[in-house]
Amino acid sequence: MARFSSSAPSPPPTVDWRRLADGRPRRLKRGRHFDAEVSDLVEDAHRVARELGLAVRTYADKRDPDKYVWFQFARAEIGRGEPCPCGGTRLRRVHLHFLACDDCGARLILRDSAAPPREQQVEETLLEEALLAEEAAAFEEALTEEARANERRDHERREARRIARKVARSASLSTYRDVHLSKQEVAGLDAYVGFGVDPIGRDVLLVVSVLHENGAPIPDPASPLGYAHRVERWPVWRFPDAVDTAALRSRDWEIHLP
Amino acid sequence: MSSTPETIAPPVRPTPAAPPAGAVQIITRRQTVAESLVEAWRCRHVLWALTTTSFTGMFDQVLLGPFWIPITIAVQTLGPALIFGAVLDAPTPSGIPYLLFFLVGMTVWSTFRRSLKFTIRSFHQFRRLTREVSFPLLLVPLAAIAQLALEIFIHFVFIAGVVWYFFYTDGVVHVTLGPQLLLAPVALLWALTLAAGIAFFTAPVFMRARDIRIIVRLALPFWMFVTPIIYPLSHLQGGARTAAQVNPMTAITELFKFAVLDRAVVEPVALVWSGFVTAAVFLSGIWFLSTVGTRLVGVQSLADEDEDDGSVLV
Ligand SMILES: [Zn+2]
Repeated sequence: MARFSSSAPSPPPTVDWRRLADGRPRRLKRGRHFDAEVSDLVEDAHRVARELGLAVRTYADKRDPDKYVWFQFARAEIGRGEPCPCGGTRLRRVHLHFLACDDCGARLILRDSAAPPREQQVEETLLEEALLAEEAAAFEEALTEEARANERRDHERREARRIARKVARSASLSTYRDVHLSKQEVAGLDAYVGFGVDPIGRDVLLVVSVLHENGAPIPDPASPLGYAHRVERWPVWRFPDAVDTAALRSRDWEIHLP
Repeated sequence: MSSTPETIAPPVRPTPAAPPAGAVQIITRRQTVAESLVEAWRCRHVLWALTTTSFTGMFDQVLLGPFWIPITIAVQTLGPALIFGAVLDAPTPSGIPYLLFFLVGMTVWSTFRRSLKFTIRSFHQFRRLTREVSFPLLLVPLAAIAQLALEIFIHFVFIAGVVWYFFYTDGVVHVTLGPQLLLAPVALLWALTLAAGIAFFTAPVFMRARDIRIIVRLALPFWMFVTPIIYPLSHLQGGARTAAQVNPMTAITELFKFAVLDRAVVEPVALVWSGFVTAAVFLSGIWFLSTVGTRLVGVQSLADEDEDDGSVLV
């Protein structure tokens, strides 16, 4: 059945959030637990969380993002270096995005937590590319001229989506504070080298590669460099005796991002 | 690249100062086995969500859908049963048709084997979800196992069908309807517990080393051969029987055969040994998952990821 979500307002979500706000993750299914658009439900969850003085993390299941959505409420959302609302400063990490306060036991959501590990990104990109290539080859054989035109349009759309995903997934510089960078002056290499402070507050050396598509950098207005990029970090905090970061800071750098 | 971080790394600095008092500390404390189990029980509703996702995902773009399950069971049991029973004339305990004997043994083995097969890719299947929301990791392999419920049920339907067939043709009922039948689900749960324990090791390792899948695939046929599925345990004597009973699956298989056919070699020592191995594997598996596993799956911390970073510079 066709949905006219753009013109007709979706029904208001009817989820008993107070019952679900117990810190455990819940998956809600559209048509069973709610009838509204997933985005409306997510908005509603955040509104209720604010009203209850809580925080919520949401995740639309990639398998069927218009149908399944996960919610997990927590006592609060905090940034790096911030204590628990109870004043507790010993926070135990229970997940990439969740901490538990040792003093009051509350679950906390960590703002701006980690990007997915790099090897995962590379693997998924390669897999996607392999699937796209396979699909293209299979269709090429069977299609008529007209269908080929359709296929080209589809392919362009897929390519656009793939690039958008690539941009979205790139580990962003905005994760780091106090970033100092200089452009790498080696022919053909579009990269910046420098250092910064990671979300936990540790010094890291950074190599920032600008992502390219068909030989040109991919623009990304949200990025501090103006282009989509991938950040590699080198854990300099592991070798405190080898690197003097104070001396690093006093150098001349082309870019400084506070 | 001509410039590595070392080239921009200037001279030595003094030892860093200790963190100031009152500063926020993020600590990593691993859950104990008991805490993991309690937490898993608290979040048991997640198991249903994961199981249904897994189960429906299994039949994505599969035209016959779950109808493949009986077809697969038929092919995997009828063919070998004919070869071993009719052609090779393999022995069975007194009077039991080979087809039934083999089917009963295969019900346990297939449950165990398919559990190992489905669990190994389970973290990979839910890799995005496990990084987005926080729930006990041990639910992921358990969900992969829970999706086998329908398959196990169909196995029982097959057993009932074969029993009925032999009653219809020979007039003999080969199962004993008695309280020992209650041991059948016990034996299956036992096999699933052992499989889950193994999966708590193999599934996280698969995230970093795909080799584990090949190792399991190579080990399973050998393991099946040293489990009394094709032949009855009563056929082995002396040292060979003792050796077979070192395999924890032997006692489990015999218990299931005893429950359904009322004819098997159920020795208390073998049962205790199998129970000990199963408990040890299951509990150490939970410990592995909550310590090394979280790092392998990549849901624990930035600090954990950093441990790999030395080698991932472009
Ligand atoms: Zn607290």
